[in-house]
Amino acid sequence: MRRLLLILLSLIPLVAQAQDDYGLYMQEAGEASLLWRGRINVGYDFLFNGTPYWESPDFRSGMIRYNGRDYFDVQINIDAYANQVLVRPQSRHQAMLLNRDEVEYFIIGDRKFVYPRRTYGKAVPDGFCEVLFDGRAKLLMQVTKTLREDPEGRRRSEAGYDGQYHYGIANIFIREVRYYYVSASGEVKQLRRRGDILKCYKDRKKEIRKYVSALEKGQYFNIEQYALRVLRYVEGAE
Amino acid sequence: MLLVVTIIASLLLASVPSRAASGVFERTYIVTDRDVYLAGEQVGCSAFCLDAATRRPSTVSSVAYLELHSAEGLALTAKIGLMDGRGAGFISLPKNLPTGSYRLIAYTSLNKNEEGYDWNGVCSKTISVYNTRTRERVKGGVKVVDELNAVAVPVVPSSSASLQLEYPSQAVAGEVVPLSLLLPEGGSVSVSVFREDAVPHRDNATIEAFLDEISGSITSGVSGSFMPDYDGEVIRAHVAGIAPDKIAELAGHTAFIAAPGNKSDVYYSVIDSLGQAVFYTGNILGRKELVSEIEDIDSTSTCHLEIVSPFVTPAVEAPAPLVLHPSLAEDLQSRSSAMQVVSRFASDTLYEWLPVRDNLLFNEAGRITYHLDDYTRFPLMREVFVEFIPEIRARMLGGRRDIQVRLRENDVDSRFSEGSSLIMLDGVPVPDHDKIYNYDPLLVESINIYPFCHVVGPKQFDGIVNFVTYKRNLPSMRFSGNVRVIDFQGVLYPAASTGLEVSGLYPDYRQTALWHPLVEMAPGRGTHLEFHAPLRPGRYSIVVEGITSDGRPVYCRRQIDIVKE
Repeated sequence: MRRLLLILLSLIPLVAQAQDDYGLYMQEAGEASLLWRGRINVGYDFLFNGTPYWESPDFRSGMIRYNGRDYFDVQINIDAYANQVLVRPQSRHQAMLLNRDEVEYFIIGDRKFVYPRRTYGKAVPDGFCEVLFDGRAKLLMQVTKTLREDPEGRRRSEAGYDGQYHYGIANIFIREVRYYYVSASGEVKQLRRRGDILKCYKDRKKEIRKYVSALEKGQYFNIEQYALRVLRYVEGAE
Repeated sequence: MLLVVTIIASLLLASVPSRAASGVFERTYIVTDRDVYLAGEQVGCSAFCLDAATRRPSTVSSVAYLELHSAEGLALTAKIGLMDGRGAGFISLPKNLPTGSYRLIAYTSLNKNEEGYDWNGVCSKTISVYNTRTRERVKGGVKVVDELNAVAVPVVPSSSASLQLEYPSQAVAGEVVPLSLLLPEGGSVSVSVFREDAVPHRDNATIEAFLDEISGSITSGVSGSFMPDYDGEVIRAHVAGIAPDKIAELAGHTAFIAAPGNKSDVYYSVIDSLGQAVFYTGNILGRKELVSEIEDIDSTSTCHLEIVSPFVTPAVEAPAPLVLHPSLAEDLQSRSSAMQVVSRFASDTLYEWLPVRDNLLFNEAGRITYHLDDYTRFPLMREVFVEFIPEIRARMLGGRRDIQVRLRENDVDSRFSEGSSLIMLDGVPVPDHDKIYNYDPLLVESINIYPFCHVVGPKQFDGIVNFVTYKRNLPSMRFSGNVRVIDFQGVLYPAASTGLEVSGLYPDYRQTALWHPLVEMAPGRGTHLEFHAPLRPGRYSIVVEGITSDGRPVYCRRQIDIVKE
């Protein structure tokens, strides 16, 4: 009797875990869900330094709006070399390649990523961007990786990756970062230097420059930090 | 001790997958372009599937099921695809549908789990159908009266004070009429413009009443195990044509359903020990003939899949009977003539197709296509492979023909797949590759090759080839004995009707001058619509019905006179 009671008690947590509608569906559908339908990502079968991914090969849990549906608790990563978003089901070690025209956005932690060509067309380059500022205007950051040969390791620091570096491997993924300003009317402009963001607010240039300079006070803001301060000021977020 | 064990055991016995108290209770409201129809006409439907607790569009279900009931029972069924709680479609009323009152009910898969769900409540409405070609009437659904009270057209002030509607009070028949709408808080509405006459309207509740009542309609109990149609319709099937004691032998076999065409409507499932299979689709559009096959069984076997109907067909209260009086004859005759003109000439040209969700099996980037008309035509498929398609080859593998695809990985052509490619004809898998190998290439328009590894449900394929014929209906394909072609009712195509496409081509006698079921308005941004004023002059009603983005009702009814030139 005691043994029976112990067995039954141990099963209660499983019973008590009722599910919401989404969770019930994803549990029942499993790999048959449309999120996992499509092309498998085969990865890269050559040796390289750096990483083709946005930050690291690690997939992170997030939420993705794909093909008009929201999917939660999904393992997501961005292949910044191929400009693709990858999702990985828990039951597989292989990741799936999503149709990026159908990716509206995805959120990992508090970071939101979009495929801006869906909205702005070819005014933006191909690939995914992180939304650094989302107000009436937007500030987007795009990380791309290019594959180079660097047998002597001179470009090691450009990989932008803290993982182990292997001498003797010539291929390296070099990290490049670009920033884009999108105005309220949908005009897209690449920010190559700090002053470019001020050109977007010509009539308030002096006032904005003065404000941001006061904030800098001995430190130096890079393009991203500078643009963020400007946008927060202009949109009243600061 | 025994009591404790009993309690715990009861908990476990009740532990079928169940929905938490936080699960959504959905209520589906259908707006129709009018509420009086003739048999043979189209009923324009706009679906609002809301969370009863929050009164906001539900983001759970992707399908709404509609049933039309008369006093005699179920008359017809339909499905509407939902995107963020909104969907639309046209229901075709059969030409032999008897005259009478009909109750239109709408529900989602989640409603099937609710104990005591009120099928006659807020999610139902009544429509009148007149059949001007036969004397068939619904028993108990028609009342002939000696005197007909004139029914004044209700002019309903806007329930949403913020809706701004601009329209001309008068328009000339045959000209384009503009309409402008603005909702400062944004929202989603349907817009209908239809001709008024003496035929009585139905006294249906508006969306305002629906929103007032849905919170109170939440049932206390949830049982049953219907899961939501989250990605799209969940199609259930069971094995038939086999002795019951043999069903368990099919456990673990895969089966597929596929709709012929040039889209990728193919879904796989694994049969369980009870002979059941569940297909998780992304909504199959339109009425299709589904090809279904259980794989890896004797090709002469009669064992096959039968699809389980998703409709509940509940006992529904008979609606109030339709009123008939001789004074209606002229208007009904006029409508009938108009309906016949539209049926004769219109076909698909009247409709503006609205966006739908794709099912995303094929990512067209990287596809390799061969249009066979661009090449020398060969009489045998094997010659086609050899002569100009290096991406495909045919080999014998384990005594069976295997069509293999050369895979492309990292932008480099690599190995040929072995025993693992998906070969399709018009989007329908052909497991026996010999059939394709011996197929007549003169029937094939193009060969689409996807040289990548794909996952389709429980199956993984190394490369996919789709042979697309000119007719898209698998001409001259001989199926095995265990293949079945099933008539399947998919979700309706969402469409709007403005008449702009056919202006001047033929007499425009449409009863509904404008039907747009899915007008999405961003906050502060107006929407401009246009429609072609039909050639029948008269008074037309403009009805805007919907919901604001903060869950408040929108209902507005105005009138416009269309006059002869």
